[in-house]
Amino acid sequence: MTLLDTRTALLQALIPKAGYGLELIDRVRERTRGKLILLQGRVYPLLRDLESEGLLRSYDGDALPERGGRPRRYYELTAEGRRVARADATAISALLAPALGEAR
Amino acid sequence: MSKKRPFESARAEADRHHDGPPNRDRRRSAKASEPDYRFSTLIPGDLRTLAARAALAAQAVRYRGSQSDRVAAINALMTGGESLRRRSFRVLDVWSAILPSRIVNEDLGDYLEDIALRVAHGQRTLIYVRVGAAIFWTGVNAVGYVMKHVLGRPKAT
Repeated sequence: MTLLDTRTALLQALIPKAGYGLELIDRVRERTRGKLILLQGRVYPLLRDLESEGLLRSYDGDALPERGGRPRRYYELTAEGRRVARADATAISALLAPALGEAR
Repeated sequence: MSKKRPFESARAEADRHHDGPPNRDRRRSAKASEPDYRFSTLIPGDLRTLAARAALAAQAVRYRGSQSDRVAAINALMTGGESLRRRSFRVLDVWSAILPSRIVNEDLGDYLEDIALRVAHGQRTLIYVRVGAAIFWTGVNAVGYVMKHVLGRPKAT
């Protein structure tokens, strides 16, 4: 996947609710039935970039023993991020419309 | 230096207290009082370790928890997962000492959670690869993070 795809996938994965890096990777994999697997090492800098662009905001969760006592970092869409995610979704559905029409 | 085996000491003890002639019965009585260790020399260390793990797994079978907990416990015990998890966490804890706290909590924390989850499900094979990937990617991301936030320069990607 290119960086643009990863960015779009992350924004789409955050539409229903907030999530942390590992959870977002799982969401994308489940929704695409394993067709898209985001590279863990590339996801975190991109999330931080999206936050600095004002599309996401983040907060720390509780410290957990399975993380060696470290907290999870949750991300959620800002109003601007939600608008960009919806615009991306419209563009992607327009792109996929012919294929989806054939499937129906 | 020859090490005296338990069955040999038992036999010597039986010899000392026996009044009659040395015969097969006398040996049989020594064997009856002591466990037979003759085959212990044939079992290599790995098999003994496996036997110990199997005993632990048997304990896990008797564990009265939920089915998924029990399966995870058996898998972890059979593969020696707990020590593997501890070793991985120790390595990454040492590595985390030189990383920015945001990278440690976010990136490295997720890698640790992923490793713990895989170990709990008995997926032992690629754990060291995961540890290597964690070290590599957190290092790369830490360099980018420091360049961007401390030096005020954008990352070169």
